[in-house]
Amino acid sequence: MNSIDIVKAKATLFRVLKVLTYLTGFPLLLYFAKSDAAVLKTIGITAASADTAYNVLFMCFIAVAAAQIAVGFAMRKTGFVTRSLVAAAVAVAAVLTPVLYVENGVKAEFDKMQEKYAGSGYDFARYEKQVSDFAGRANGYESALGGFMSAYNLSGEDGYSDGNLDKTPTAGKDGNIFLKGFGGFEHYTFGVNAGNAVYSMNGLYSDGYVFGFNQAKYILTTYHKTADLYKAEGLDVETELQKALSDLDLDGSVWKDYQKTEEYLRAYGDSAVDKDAKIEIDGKEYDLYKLRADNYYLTKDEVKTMVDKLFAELSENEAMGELVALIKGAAGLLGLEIPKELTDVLDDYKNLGYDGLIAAIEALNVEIGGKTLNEETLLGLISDFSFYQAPSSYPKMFFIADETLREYAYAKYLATKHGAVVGSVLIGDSVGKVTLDAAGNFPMAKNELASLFQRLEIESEFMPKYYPWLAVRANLIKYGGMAPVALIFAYFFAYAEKKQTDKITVKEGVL
Amino acid sequence: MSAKGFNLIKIGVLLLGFPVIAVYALIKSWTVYEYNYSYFPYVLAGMGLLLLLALLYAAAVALTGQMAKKSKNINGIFASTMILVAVGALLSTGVWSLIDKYVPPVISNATQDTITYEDIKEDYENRAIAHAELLSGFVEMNVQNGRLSPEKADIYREEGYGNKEVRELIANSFNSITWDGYDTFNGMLVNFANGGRLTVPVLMHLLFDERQDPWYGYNGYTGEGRGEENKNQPLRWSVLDLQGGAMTFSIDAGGLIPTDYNELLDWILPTLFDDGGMLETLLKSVDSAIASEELVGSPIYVAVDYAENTITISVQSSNGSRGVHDYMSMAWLNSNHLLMAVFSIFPVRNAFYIFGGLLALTGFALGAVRQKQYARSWR
Repeated sequence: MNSIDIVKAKATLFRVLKVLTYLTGFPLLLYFAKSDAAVLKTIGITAASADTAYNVLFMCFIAVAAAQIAVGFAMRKTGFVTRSLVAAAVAVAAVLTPVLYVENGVKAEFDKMQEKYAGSGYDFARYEKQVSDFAGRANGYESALGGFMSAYNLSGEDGYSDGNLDKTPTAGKDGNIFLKGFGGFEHYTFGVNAGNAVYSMNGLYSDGYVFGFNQAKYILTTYHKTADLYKAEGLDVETELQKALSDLDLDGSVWKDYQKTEEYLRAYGDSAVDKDAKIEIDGKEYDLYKLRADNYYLTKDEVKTMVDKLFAELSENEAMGELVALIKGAAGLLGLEIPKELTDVLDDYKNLGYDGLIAAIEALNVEIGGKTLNEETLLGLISDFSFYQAPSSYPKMFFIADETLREYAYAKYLATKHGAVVGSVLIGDSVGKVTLDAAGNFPMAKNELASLFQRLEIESEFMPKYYPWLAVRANLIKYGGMAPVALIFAYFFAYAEKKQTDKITVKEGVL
Repeated sequence: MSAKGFNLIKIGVLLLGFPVIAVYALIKSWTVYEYNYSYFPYVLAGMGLLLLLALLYAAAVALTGQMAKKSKNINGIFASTMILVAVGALLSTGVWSLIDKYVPPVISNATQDTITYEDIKEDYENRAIAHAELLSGFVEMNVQNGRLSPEKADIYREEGYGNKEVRELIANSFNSITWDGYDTFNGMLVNFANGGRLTVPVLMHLLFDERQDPWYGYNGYTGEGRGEENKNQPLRWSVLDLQGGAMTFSIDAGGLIPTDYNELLDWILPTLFDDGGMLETLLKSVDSAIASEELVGSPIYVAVDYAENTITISVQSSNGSRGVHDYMSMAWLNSNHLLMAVFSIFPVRNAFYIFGGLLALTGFALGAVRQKQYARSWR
């Protein structure tokens, strides 16, 4: 190698070192801040706020870069030492500003919050604790929320499924397809400001809506709060609710009037509907026939058909004779006398159907739980499957005059009935995922729920707002000192490189 | 050294590169192929891709060899070496990062998220076995119920997907459970069943709510002695058929039956619950009532058992007797040939990721040998 090659190699080496040292300053710091933002995002802090702090740091970087350019122009004649010192000073200021803001401004906010929440039941940790443990605390928030969501088998905030069985249109809270109220009762949409639920025309959730966190919280809070409110007045909310509902059954009540309207009758009316008839809702055509509620539950006629069919099959079965003998024999062993009505039915099992079965049971005059076993109580056993709340008409509870009580009725209905359908029971002995292959979870106690909701509400307020700043501070304290140093080194290597390239120009000029 | 000597060294160097990857890929591909050879040629997609890459690499070796031979100085050799190294890097990492980026959404879409790229990536061997069992299970079920001729059972087992009857039966079964099953449910509750929210009310709705009429038809028994009338009859699929398998409910009967009637129980229980006992006979009538249009419209088999104060009720769908897997498995089985093509690519992909560095290294070494060989002619 000749000497020019050596000089060129040195220049290259210095150029590489210049770039490397420059990169270990602000660019590395920005990279750290970016990964912190990414981490905070995964634990539920919104993208926008996680990026705020990063963006501030980026502005600092731009400020330093601008200062470097300005210095480069203004101090062309000055030596590299002065120039690098000026740039480093700007860098120090750029690093210090956010740190000082956090140490003073953010800390002051924390102090204020600590004072605000003192005695509220929420244990607001002081700034010094949170500043060192913010990541763990953000994780704690996330797992508390996740634990609640999974215990109650909730879905994402929008629910993963919507739509109604009868295909009537659904809407979010701003939907314009809601019913228009009746008899002086303005239309009412439950929990309309609580979250982004999907609704039916009658102001209840659409059939396929699975509760999101905010709606579940609203339902549970309403349910428990109202019960407490009544208790404070020496009343039992359940008794009051039953009273209000049975008042609506009286002749001349607004509910009775509503049951005569076309709106109600198209879902629950007796007369058969022409299968081709259409109805226009919100500018779109729907099958009137589909709106009939009895399409979506087991009617008495259907149960009758099913039972008749079952006995028709069984009457052909020779084991039925044995069963009759077994029942008679067992009764004999127990010393029971079988009423004649029953022996008649048993002997005539080949002709047994729904009517015969009911007649036999009623003749037995058996009492279970204080209720005589008859057709009504038997059908009551399947009552969960023998009613469908049509989305196109108001439920009875809509007409409860006391608004607090009405809201309670809605909350209870949604928590138990709606929740039982979508596999997300909110209130009961078993909550959450109660399905064919899951038995659900133990419900959380009222107080436990209250403090969880309080905690989640408070933390979802301040954590997204301030935690990204704490992350920036942590990075700046650890690596911020590197920025000015890296700049100084970058300037030095730039100077060293220039010396080498100068040599080349000189030498080549000579040659 | 003679030209022959240099050629020997070059061949030795080349053998340490691509062939190592190819051999590793072949070994790792064996399971996929062993269990699924009836999916020829789909199951060889990975091998095909390997062959294509091998040809590309061979072409790159040949072209850069020419380039090196003709070059007049070290720069030409260096350039040819770098091209070979770059081609090696492209084949080992470049191609596969593109596949990693663009194939996952395609797989997720095609399988409606029931299989993801991550599921297969390192687990392709188990997947290949599980999907092979879908086919063998399907054949067994249908040999048993006579939709496939029991006399030709061994042929079906041997030929698998290669057998036209089997292929057609898979297509017919999948279409039937899709069009006469899944698609006949009104509203959105069928998604609750598939989404882990099959509650009792949802089950009741899905069993008893009005549904669209079946129209496609299910290819019934075709074996000897079976009536023509069983061919291509549209029939219903209940939601339990879509779910597949059996459901078991246990009722603790300890509190139900008073213990002071032991003598009575000793007599009644065996009569009721024993094999061939009264309940078993009675339940046959119940099953046939359930299968009628008045009730569910498709068979659900109910069995009751009693042991140690516990009554166990099990409910079995008609999948086994009809010779059809649950809906999701049928969807997989129906596109198993395409899935096999996907599975077969992964051993090749992983071989390139693991040994990819060898291509760059041997490429570089080859360049060095070429330089030694051709540099002599410049002097």
